[in-house]
Amino acid sequence: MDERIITIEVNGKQYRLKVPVRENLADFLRHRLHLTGTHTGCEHGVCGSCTILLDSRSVRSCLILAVQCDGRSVRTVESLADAAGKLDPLQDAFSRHHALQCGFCTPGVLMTLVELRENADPSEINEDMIREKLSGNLCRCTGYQGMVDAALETLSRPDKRL
Amino acid sequence: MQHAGKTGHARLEDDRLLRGQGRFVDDLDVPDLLHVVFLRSAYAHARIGKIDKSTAEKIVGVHAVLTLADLKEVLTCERLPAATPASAIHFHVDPCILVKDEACYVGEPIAMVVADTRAIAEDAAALIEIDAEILPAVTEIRAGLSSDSPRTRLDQPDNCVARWTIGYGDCESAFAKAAHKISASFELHKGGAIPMEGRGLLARPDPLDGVLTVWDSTQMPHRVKRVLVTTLGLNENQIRVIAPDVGGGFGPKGPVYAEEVAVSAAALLLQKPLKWIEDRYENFISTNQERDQYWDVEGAFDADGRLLGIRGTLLHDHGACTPSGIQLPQNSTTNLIGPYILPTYKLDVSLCLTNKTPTTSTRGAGRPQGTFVMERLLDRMAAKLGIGRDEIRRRNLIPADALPYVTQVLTRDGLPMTYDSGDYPECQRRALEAAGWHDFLARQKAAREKGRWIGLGLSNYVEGTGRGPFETASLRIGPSGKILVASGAASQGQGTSTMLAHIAAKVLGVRPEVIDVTCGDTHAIAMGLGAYASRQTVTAGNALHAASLEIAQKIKQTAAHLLEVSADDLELRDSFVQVKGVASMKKSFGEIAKTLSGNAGFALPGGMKPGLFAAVDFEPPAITYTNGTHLAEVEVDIRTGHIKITRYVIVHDCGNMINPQIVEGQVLGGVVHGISATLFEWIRHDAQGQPLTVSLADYLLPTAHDVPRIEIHHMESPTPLNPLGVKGAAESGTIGAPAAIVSAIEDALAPLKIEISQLPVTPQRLQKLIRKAQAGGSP
Amino acid sequence: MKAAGFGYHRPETMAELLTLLADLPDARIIAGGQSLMPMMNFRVAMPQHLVDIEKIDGLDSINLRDGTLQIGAMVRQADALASPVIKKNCPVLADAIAYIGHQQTRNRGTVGGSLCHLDPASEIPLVCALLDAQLYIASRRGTRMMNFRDFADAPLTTSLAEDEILTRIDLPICDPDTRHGFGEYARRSGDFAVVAVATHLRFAGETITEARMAFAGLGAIQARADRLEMFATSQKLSPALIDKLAQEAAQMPAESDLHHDADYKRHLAACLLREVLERILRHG
Ligand SMILES: Cc1cc2nc3c(=O)[nH]c(=O)nc-3n(C[C@@H](O)[C@H](O)[C@H](O)COP(=O)(O)OP(=O)(O)OC[C@H]3O[C@@H](n4cnc5c(N)ncnc54)[C@H](O)[C@@H]3O)c2cc1C
Ligand code: FES
Ligand code: FES
Repeated sequence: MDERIITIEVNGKQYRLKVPVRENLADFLRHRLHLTGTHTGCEHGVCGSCTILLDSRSVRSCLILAVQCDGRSVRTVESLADAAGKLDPLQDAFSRHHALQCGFCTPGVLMTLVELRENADPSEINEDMIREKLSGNLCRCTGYQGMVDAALETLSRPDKRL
Repeated sequence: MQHAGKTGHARLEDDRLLRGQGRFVDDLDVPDLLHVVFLRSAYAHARIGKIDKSTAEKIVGVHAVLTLADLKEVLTCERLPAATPASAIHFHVDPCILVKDEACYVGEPIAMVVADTRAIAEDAAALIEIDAEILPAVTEIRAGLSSDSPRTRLDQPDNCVARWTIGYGDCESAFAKAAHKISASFELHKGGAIPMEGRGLLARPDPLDGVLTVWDSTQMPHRVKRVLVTTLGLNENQIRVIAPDVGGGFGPKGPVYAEEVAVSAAALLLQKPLKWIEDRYENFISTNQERDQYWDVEGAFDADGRLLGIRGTLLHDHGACTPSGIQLPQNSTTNLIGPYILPTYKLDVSLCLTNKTPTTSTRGAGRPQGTFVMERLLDRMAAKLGIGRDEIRRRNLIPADALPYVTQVLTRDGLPMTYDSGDYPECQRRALEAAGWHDFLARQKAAREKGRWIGLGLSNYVEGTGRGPFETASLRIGPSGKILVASGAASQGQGTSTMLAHIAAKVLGVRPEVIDVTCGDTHAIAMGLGAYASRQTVTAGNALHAASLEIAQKIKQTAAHLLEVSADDLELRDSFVQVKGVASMKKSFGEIAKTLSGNAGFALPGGMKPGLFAAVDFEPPAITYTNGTHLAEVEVDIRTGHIKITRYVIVHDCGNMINPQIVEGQVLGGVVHGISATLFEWIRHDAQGQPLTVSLADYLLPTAHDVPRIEIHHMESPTPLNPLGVKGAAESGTIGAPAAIVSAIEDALAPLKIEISQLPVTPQRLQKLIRKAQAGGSP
Repeated sequence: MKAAGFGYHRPETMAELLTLLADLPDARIIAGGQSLMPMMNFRVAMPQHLVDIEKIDGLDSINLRDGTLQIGAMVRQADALASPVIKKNCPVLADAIAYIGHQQTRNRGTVGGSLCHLDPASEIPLVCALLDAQLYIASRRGTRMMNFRDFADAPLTTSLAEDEILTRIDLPICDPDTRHGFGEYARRSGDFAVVAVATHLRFAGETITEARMAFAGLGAIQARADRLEMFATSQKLSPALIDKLAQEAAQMPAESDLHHDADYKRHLAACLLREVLERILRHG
């Protein structure tokens, strides 16, 4: 079996590990690093539950190989709460707005919104835009409304990065 | 009713799920874990001969390749004892645990590979060679029910697995005296459940205690345990089934599947922990789904548009087995009646076995189709009579003072279907008002002048919830003082733990966060059923309510002895029992529990019975009926046929609400499922029975951008059927949606007089109807 | 749903890459992986070797040179969408890319990958057909340049040889006399088009001196509609002309697929073309 040693930063931590080249990043995170917050709902790029940030851009981790991430930096849902364990404002808003039910899609949705928060101007945020940005994340439980509201509340605040 | 939620209580489940610390089956890892892949039938119908596994077995990393013959050593039977009893069924069709000699749908499991990794197991599965003789497949139900059809299964006499007539009253004379009659045919498709997490399980035999523990993404862990006990020949102490976090269920994770038995059996056989995780492709071909129903119906009305009778036929695609008996089409037939007075009714129902994935209920469970048929008949009759769609409903709705209202059909439990509480006309009135029904004509006129095609549609429905026979909940407080709740209920995202914690917390005077709730673990509670038919708040909620009252009473009585006061002067607050208004005179729950756990040789105070433990089975006396009115506003792009839902209003009545935020979440999710079933989801097969929609790119689910903001208003008509006065809410959103949306589409296109009789309403289908109408009816 | 095994190669120079492509049996380039990886996970594609071109220098630049817009094959769709150079000089491409997939797929998916995958409903090949893109292709045997028309053989099939790589796409830049349009109908946002249309009209006064109209999704590969272009050339853009063009579009050859039949696709083609042209007529 073809294997490779890779160096990868995940949530601020450096790892050096041997991986089979055919292993995708989602499986690598979940089963090798035991960061099981990233989920796989389709493994063909449509559902978005595997969304993570690769060098700060949202990507489907089921469609990228772990070897392709050699030398790069990854952020997953596990990185969102602060060192003291306090939830990120977006996570907190998700709970208040009942934006999650089974919670399977939630990590992917959060990471999509984190990218949006880091790039969008709060004054541009509106419901239609959020719904468009969330179109790459399927949720079967919530009907999306709670997550749209949580995102609207959190992302349209000028102090959103606090 | 005092509400939790919206008052600052987050769901207990949220914190860890938000942190990525959920524990879904595939998140679990144990030492020496091996992975299972199923080799599935590539044919809709085939006789299976020799299975050559020699090449597959040689792959490095493969531990075993197993067929039914190999599993026999640990199985008590070849077939999955899945059937739900139903007298209308001519023959039960339980599948073999792995195919023995005949494969009856694409996706049916034939053999399993056990390997170090899933990828290696997939490599090996591709190398198993099977001698298959392809047989003719039954793929269409009208053809399948004809006498010259090939058979779905060679060991069955024909494809008509069940046939019955539901009805009452003298339909013939009703039609004979009717002032107006209409007839209509509908081809109603409903899709799969497609939870974001597929099925899956991890089975671990433990040589130390001899217990097989199975973590299973199921709605019904106790049922899984029962089937495993039967098929593996073990006793109840030797199997523990746990439903950990489950990523959505919506129906099909209720039945027990061959894979659950096969993986557990293989784990026993190999004495190794095994994990099988269904991938999305498998989910499309092997998890039960809903599919097609063909309805031919006639409605008889009096001169004022009051219903006199409905009669007709229903043909239903049942798939290759009968995992849930007839409940799905049965729900369709009974829910047709809905909140209306239907004096006579006669429907002939035929269920056709087909060489396709078995069908069982997906959210809504057949009810949306029945509701759809009734609501379409009402709309069409209103058009014929030139009266409002709201008015024809008003004339037919059961008046509030007629409740409880006993219909003339029986439910599965043999009782007459009885609507227990609610005010259907008022529900419709409020919904019309909230959606601006009466101003809409003016808005529509203005829009039409600008070339925009907008429409408003409505539907009324009921939903039978809280199905029995029972659910169990227990509450225990030990010397630690911790309040431990357990229930046979299981959660797939409904916030069941939060709901239970709220109920117990309120009775015991504590914060919900301090209660430790265990759901879905057969070791935590001996009996239970689980999640189906929007039942858990009703059944488990009331069971726990009763258990909590019992414990609260016992705490007070014990404390009364210890503090030498009357129990009536005591109150429960923050895990203490104290004399009302005298905070210094108190005992903690832990102290009470310690007292009741006894000291060797000493009597318990005041002759109290030992322990702070109560377990209650709540047996709902009958089904309780939730109801609602949906109003959908749509805009149709008549060039493309694209339908945009621009507004959605619901008035919903599920009795008392424990936690309105959770109820709304259930309704919202349900509506979007209904929108999805109406406009997007469509399971397709070719003529040979090959499934064609096996990816999320071909099988469409709506995104955030495809659904509107949904407005929910509540009525609270408590049911007299349980002490909490609660009803279920998980499916009702789905039931009303197709009828309301289609009503809106037809309204938008009213100048073209378009009648929609197929679901889903795809843009292509709608556009063709539009063009046909524009061309003056000729195709 | 796990990919079958393969060898993985990540060359750092073009020379190394071309050698690998020439020498490895059954090698497949991976660019953004947004089409290839799903196919591999489904095991519809099972290449023996994957050659990752991410590390090769110079494949991800966007330049304006000699009146052409030069886009490296590895330019990510998200970067192309955000590029002011593309927006200014080839707005039809920017408009088209906005319809491709979702933020997460555009962050990885590349312009070149979309062309090489050549889904008949894809937006980038549509724009390349419209504007007669020149494609630069390299192999150890040398480099060659070809028109999109010669590159696109059939749906999902290019004329690239196994040892070749697409390196760059050249598009003419738009000038003040041209007007472009883009229209698409897809079931959901982010889906492949059911049908998409792109137009490029050059005017002298009110007269159309050059007409280009191309379609995606009709079944065959993205191509210009010569017949429609002929009707439009030397005409004034008017409601009557738009009627005529829409009628002609409704007669175009199309193929049915699982979700949509030929008749509906032709109908959409006509509607979309009408909408795009009417927009140009309104806004001048
Ligand atoms: C959910 C989803 C939605 C999508 N929606 C759309 C859509 O609406 N419209 C659309 O057009 N696409 C869509 N796509 C596909 C698009 O995202 C892909 O980016 C694109 O089709 C392929 O580009 P890539 O860089 O990812 O190529 P890859 O997947 O890496 O490669 C695709 C093919 O091209 C070959 N290849 C790639 N680069 C080169 C090169 N430079 N030279 C030679 N061969 C090469 C590969 O060998 C492979 O055969 C969607 C994908 C997903 C997952
Ligand atoms: S698992 Fe990656 S997109 Fe669905
Ligand atoms: S919360 Fe269950 S899929 Fe989104």
